Amino acid sequence: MASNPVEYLPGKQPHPREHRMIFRNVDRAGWDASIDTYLNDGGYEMAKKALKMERQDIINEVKASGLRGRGGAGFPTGVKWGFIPPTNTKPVYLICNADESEPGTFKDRYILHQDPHQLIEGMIISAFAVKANLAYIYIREEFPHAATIVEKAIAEAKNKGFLGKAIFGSDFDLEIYVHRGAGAYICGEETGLIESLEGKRPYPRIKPPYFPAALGLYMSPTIVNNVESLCHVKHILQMGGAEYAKLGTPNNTGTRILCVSGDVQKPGYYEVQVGKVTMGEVINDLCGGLKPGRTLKAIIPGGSSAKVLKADETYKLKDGRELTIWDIPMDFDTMAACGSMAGSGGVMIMDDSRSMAWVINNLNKFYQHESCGQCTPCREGSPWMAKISDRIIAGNASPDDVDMLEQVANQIEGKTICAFGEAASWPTQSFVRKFRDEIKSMTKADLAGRIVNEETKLAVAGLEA
Amino acid sequence: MEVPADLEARIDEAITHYPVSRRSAVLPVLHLLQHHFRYITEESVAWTAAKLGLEPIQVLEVVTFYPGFRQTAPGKVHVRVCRTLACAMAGSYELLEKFCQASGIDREAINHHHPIGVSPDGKYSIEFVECLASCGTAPVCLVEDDLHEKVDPAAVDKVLAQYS
Amino acid sequence: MSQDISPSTAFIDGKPFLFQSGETILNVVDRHLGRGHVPTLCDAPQLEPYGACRVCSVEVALQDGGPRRVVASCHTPMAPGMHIFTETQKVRRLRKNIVELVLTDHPLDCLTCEVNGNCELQTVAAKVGIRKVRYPEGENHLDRKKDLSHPYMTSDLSKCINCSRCVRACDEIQGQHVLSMHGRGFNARIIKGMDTTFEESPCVSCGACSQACPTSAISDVFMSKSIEATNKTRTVCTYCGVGCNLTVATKGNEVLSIQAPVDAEVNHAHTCLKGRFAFKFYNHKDRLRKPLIRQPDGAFKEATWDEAYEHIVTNLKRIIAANGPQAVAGISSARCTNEENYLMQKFIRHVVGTNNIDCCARVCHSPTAWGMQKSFGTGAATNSFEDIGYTKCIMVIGANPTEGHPVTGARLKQAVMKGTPLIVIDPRRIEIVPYAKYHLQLRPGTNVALLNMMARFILDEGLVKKDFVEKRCENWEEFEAGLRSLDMDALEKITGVDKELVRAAAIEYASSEAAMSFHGLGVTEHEQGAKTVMLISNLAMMTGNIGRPGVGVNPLRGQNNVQGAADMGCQPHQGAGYFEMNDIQVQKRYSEFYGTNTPSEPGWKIPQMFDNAIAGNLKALWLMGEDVVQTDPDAHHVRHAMDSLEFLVVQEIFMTETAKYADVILPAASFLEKSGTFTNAERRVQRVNAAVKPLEGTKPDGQIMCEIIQRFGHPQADYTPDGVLAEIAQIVPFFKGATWENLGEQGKQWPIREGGVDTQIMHVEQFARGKGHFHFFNWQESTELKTNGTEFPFILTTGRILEHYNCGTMTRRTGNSEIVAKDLLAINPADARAKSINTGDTVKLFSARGEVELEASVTDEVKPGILYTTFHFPENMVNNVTGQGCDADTLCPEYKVVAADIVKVS
Repeated sequence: MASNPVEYLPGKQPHPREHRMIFRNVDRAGWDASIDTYLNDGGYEMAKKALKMERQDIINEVKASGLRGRGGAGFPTGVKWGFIPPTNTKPVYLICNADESEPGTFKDRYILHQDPHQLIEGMIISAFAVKANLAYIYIREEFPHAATIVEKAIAEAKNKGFLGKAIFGSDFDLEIYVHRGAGAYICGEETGLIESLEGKRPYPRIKPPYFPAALGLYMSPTIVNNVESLCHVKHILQMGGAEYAKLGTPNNTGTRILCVSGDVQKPGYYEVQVGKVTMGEVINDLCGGLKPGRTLKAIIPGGSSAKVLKADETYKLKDGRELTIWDIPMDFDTMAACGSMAGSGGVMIMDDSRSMAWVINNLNKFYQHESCGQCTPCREGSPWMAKISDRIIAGNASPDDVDMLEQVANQIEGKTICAFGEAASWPTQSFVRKFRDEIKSMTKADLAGRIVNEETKLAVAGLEA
Repeated sequence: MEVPADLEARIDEAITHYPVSRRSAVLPVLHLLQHHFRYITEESVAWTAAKLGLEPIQVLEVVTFYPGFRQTAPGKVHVRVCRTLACAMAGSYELLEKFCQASGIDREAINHHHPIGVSPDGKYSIEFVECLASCGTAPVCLVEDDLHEKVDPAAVDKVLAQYS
Repeated sequence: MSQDISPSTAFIDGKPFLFQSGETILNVVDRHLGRGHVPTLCDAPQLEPYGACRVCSVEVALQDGGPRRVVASCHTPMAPGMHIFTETQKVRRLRKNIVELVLTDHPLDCLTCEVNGNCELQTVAAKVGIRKVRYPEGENHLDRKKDLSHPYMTSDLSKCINCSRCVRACDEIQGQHVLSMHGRGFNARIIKGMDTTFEESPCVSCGACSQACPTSAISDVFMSKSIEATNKTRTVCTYCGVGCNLTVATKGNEVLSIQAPVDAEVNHAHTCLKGRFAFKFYNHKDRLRKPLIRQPDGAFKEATWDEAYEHIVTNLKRIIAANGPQAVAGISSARCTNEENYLMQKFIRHVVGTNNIDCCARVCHSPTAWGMQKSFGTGAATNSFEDIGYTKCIMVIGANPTEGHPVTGARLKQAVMKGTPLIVIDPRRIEIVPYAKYHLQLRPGTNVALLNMMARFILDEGLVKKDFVEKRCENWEEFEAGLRSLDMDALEKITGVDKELVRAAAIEYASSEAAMSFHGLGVTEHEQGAKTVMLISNLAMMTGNIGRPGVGVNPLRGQNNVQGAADMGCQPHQGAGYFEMNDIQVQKRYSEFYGTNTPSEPGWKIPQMFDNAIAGNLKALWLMGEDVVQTDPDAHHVRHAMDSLEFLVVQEIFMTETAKYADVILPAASFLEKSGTFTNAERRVQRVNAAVKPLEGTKPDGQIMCEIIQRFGHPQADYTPDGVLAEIAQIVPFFKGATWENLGEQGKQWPIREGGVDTQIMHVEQFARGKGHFHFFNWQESTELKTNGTEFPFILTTGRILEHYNCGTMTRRTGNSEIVAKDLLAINPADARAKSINTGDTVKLFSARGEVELEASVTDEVKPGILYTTFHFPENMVNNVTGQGCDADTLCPEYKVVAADIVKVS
C-alpha cells in the first residue's frame, strides 16, 4: 500500500485521537469506490500475496493478531476459522455479514459505500484461508445503494481476474455474490442469516447440532464474519499478526470503529485503537462533549442490546481498579467487567433530558418488532415488555408493573435458541435495575392489585379440575 | 401478471448466483419483482414459486416474514422514516408526523399491523421502520432508495419535492 | 469422591442411567422415566428436535458438583458423566413462567374443548402448577375463526401455541409443505397453502399435523385426540402394501377415530388419508348383512348362514361329482389375512381337490414374484423400508409412490429432499418427478428397451462390479453378449428418451455406493412384465447392489397382503410356501400333512379361469373379496365369463359389480372386525387385531372358510388367528419361527427362523437360489399396439390416485369421495388442442374392446400421444376399454398399454 499522506474532504478530517486503518479511505479526498482508485492505492497486493501463502500460515497470522469479531460477540476470528472440522470433505462457504442491524451501529455502511474493494480483498484472503470457493455478502435491504456499489466492485474485480476461476493465476477459484436481506434484525444472527440465504424463514438454528463451522450453509462448513472483521484480515496480512497485535491493548488488539449517536455535539464514526481511548475521551474529545447545559445520564456502550451504564456508577474491577463511567477504556474485556459489552461498537449517549422509561419503551418496541417468533419466551415475552412499558409511559401503570417488566425480561434471557433473547432482555433488565426509582415515579400506586387477570384465574381453575 | 423479458433475464441471472440451491434465490427474485411492480402480489408469489420449483407457501412464508417486502401497494414515492432509538431521540416521531401532514396521510392508520400509509392521491406512502443504521446522522429516512440524513422535520416538503 | 463412570452412563437427578451415543437428554429421560417427566410443548417424538418452547429446559453439570447450566433437553446431546437436574427450583420457575406466557394468548375453555383431558398444554400447565396468569390486558389471537371446510381436517387457530409441530409434521413427515408460518414474532400464525382453508389448500389430508398438534388447534372431524374412546386397538391398515400400523379408538362397538402409533417401525406416526380417515365404510348402510341366495327369478333372497352353506355345499358337490374338481376354481383376496388366504387355498386344493386357486397378485405383481424367483430365488423385496434412510441413490420404475404407497412415498420424498439422488422411469410426470435428478419419460411399453440401454451404458462405462458378478452370479457371458448386440440408436427412438440422459442416469445408479430400486405395476402390467423385473434384477446384480443396507430390488406391493396371498399358496403353480405343485415330493408332503390327496393337475390362472368359464370347462367359481368385473381388464369378457358360470359364490362386504353375478353372496367382515396377519411389501408379517366385533350378520372370511371346510366333512377347528398361524408355521418354511405372540407389535420380516429371528435384508451371503441369474431379453413391441395401434393411435395407460383404493368399494363410501368423485382422463395439451378438448369436457375413450365416457383433464404430465386414467369408479368402468394382452410368463394383464382413441362428446 502506498504510504503517501491521506487527505480528507473538508470538514471530514479524522480526529487526531483516531487511528484510521479500516476507515483510511472513508471521506478521503479524491477517493471513489472504483477498482482503479483502489489499485492506485496499492490495492489487492495482500490478496496476491495471500494466494502464494500456505493456508495455515494465514490462519496463524489471524490467530496471532488477536482479532476479535467486530459484529458484536467479539469472538476471536482465527479461532472461529479453526472450527471447520479437519476431516471435512464438503464445500466450505464464507459469508460476510453486512446486515448491520444492531441499533446504534453504522460502521459497515461506510465501508460498503466507500471502500468495497477493501472488503473484497479481505474476503479473497479469508476465503482462500478457509478453502471457500463460494462466498456471499449478506447486505441488509436498507442499504440499496451499497448493494449496487458492492456488486459493481465485484464485477470490476472479476474483470481484472481477481475473482472467478484461477484468480491471480493461482489454482484458487472464488465467486462472491451479494445477497440482499429484506428487513430483519434476526438475520444478523449467523444461523438466521444462513437460513435466510437458503431462502427460508430466518429462524435461528439450534446449537447443537447446527454450529455453522460444521453444519452451516447447505449443511456444509460455513464461516460468517462481519464486514469490519474481514477488512481487518487484509491489514493483518500486511502488518503481520504480531505487529497488528501491538495495536490496541492485550487481548483487545487492533483498531475498531466506534459509532457514536445520541446526545453529543458531534455524533459519528471514530476509528480508534481498541482500549486506548476512554469513554470520557470519546464523549469529550472525539465527540466534542455533551450538548450545552446538559449532564450525562446513561450510555449504551455497544449497540442497543448492551446493558446500559449509568452516569454515576463506579466499577470495581478484579485487579483492584475502580473506574467511573468516564474512565472505562473502550475495549472488550473492561466493558464486560463493567457489566456491559463493547458489542458492535455502537455507543449511544443519553443526557439528563431523556426519560429512561421512554428509552426502554422505544427499545422494547424494536425487539417486539424484530422477534422472529420461533421461541415461546421471546415471541410471547417481547410484546409483553412493549405492552407494559407502554402502560408505564402512558401513566397507566402500577409500581408492580415495573417489577413485572423486569420479570418478563428475566424469563426471556437465556431461554431462547439464539442470543436475541439476551439482546431483547438485557436493555430492559439493566434499565429497570439502574433506574427503577425514576421509572416507578411514572406509575400510580392506586393501580396496584390489578395484576391478576380474573378471567384467566377462573379458567385456570377449571383447567386444574 | 406480465414479467417483461429483460426482468426475467435479470431474474434468471440472479438465480445463477445460487448453484447449490435455487431456493436460495427467493429473496433476490422477490427483490427484482418488487422493484418492478412496487410490491409483492399473490401472483408474484406464485410466479416466484413456479420459477424456483417451490410450493407457493414456501415463498409466502418468506414474504410475510420480512417487512422489506411490501404486501400492499405503496405510493409512487415511498418514504421510510426510522423509528428506533437514536432517530427517535433526534425527533423521528415528529418527522413522521410532518411527513404524514405534508402528504395527507392519516398518521393513526399506520401501525404494527398496517405498516404502510398511502396518501389519498396515491402519490406518497409512509412507513415507520426500525433502525436504518445511520444513527450518527439521525433522524434519517429512506425516500425510495435514497438516504436522507439529519432531516429537519420543518423541511419535509423540500425532501418530498425532490421526488415529484 | 471419584466414581467409576462408564462411557454410556449419565445421571438424572442423581440416579445413573445408560444411554446411547447420539441421544438427546430428553430422549434418555423419556425412555427411562417416561414421556412427560420433563414437560415440553414443541417437541414430539416423531419430529426432529426444535428447541423453541424451552419448556423442556433442565439444569446440566458436566460432572458431579460442577457448575450448572440451563439447557433445552430436546436438542442437547447427552454426554458421559453428565448430571441432569430435571426438577430444580430454577427450571420449575422457568417452565411455569413460559407456560404462563403461553396461556396469556390461549382460550381458557378447557372444559368444553374437544381435547380436554388429552391436551398437552393442559397437561404441562397442570404439571408446572399454573394457578394464575399475571398479565392483564394483553394482545391475543382468540378471535381467529375455525376452519371446518374440509371433509376430514379441521382447525381452530385460536388454540394455536405456535409450536410449529404441524408445520414440521407436514414438512418432515409428509413432505407436502402445505402448512407454514405467516408473518413474524407475536403476529406469526399458521397458514395453509396461500393463506387459505384446508379445503382450498393442497393438503393431502394425511393427518400428521393433527396428530402432532399438542392442542386442538389442528384436529380432524373424528376428533381423534378426544378422550371419548374407551378402548384402543393396534392393527394394520388394509389400504396398500406398506402395512401402516394403526391405533383404532373405539367406544362400545363403534370406531371413533384412527391414529398412527409413534413407535411403529413401518410408519412412525404417519398414515395417508385412507388409513387414518377412510374407515367409515365399515358400518356403512350398504354393508351386506345377510347371506343372499339367487332365486330362479334372478332376484336375491336373504337367507340364513345354514341355508347358504347348504346351498353352496349341495351345488359344489354336484358340480364336482359331474365334472370333477377341475370344474371348480377359487380366487382369494389379497385384502384378506394370511390365515384366510391359507384356508382358502387349503379348501380349494385339499378339500375340493384342484390347483385352480389364484389371487389378485395375478393382475399386479405376479411378474415380480416370477421374475425375482428366476433371478434371485425369492419373489419378494430384498430390503426394507428402513433402508431408504441408508441408500445413496433411489430409482423408481413404474411406480407412483406418493399416490399409491403414500407413506413410503413420503419417506422416499424426504430422502430425496435431503439430497439422495432420484431416478424416475415413468411415462408420466408423477408427483415426485420435480424432486428427481433424472426423469426418463419413456413411451409406455418400452421398459425392456430402456433398462437394456441402462445396462449397456453401465457396461460401456466400466461400472460393472466384476467381483460381485463373478462370485455371486451366473450366466453373465450370455447377458453381456446380449447387451453388446443392442442398437442404442434404435432403442433411443423406441423409448423416446434421450440416450445421453439414460447414460447419465445409468452412471448415477451404477456409481452410487448403495442404490435401491423400487418398482410397481408400471413394470409388471406389460406383455414383457416378468422380463422387466428380471432386467431390474440384472441392474442390481451387475452393480453389486444386493445384500447390503440401502440397496436391492423392492417391489411396492399394491394390496395390503398381496405378498401374503402368494406366500400362502394362492397361485395355481405353487402351494403354501412356494412349493412347486408339479413336484411329486411336494404333493406327497402336502398329502401327508393334510391327510388328503393333493391335486397334481396344473391349475388355471385367473385369465385362464375366465376363458375356461366361457368355454364351459369351469362351472363353479368362489371369489373371496375380489371384484373381478370392475378391476380385471376387458370387462365385457369378464362379464361374459361370470354369465357362463353355473355357480358363483362371492364373499364380500359390499354388493360389488361382480357380486351382482353371484348365486350365493356371503356377507364378510372388514379388516376392522377381524384378526390375523398381513405381510407387507418388505415381507413384514404383522398382527391384525379386531377393533370391533363383526357387524351383526357378518362373519370374518377365515371363519367362513373354516365352516365351509367343516361342512365338506373335513376336520377343521374354528377360526383363531393364532391357531391357523401355528398351522402355517408348520408347512411354510419361512414362517417357521412365527408365533402370534412373538410377532409382537412391530411384526417380523420373513424368513422368520426358529426362535423368531427375522430378516431385514435378503441374499446377504448368497442368493436364495444359490447364484443370481442374469437374463437377457430383447425388447418387443406390445401385441396390442401392433394389432390396434393404427386404428387407435393413442396409448392409454392406467393407474391409481391417492384418495381411492382399487375398485373403490371402501373409499367411495367415505369422505374421500367428497375429495375426488370421478376418474379423470389426462390428455396432453397438444392432443387436446387437436381434438378441441378442454379440461372439464366429457370425452369418449374407446378401444377395440369398448368405450367409456370420462371427464378430460388437459395436462402436460403426459406426453403427446399418451392418455392416462384410473379405474376407481364403476360409473366410469374404464376396464371396458382395456384389453386382454398380458405378460407372457404370468398372464398378468397389460393394463398399462392400451391402444385407444378419444373424441369430444360435450
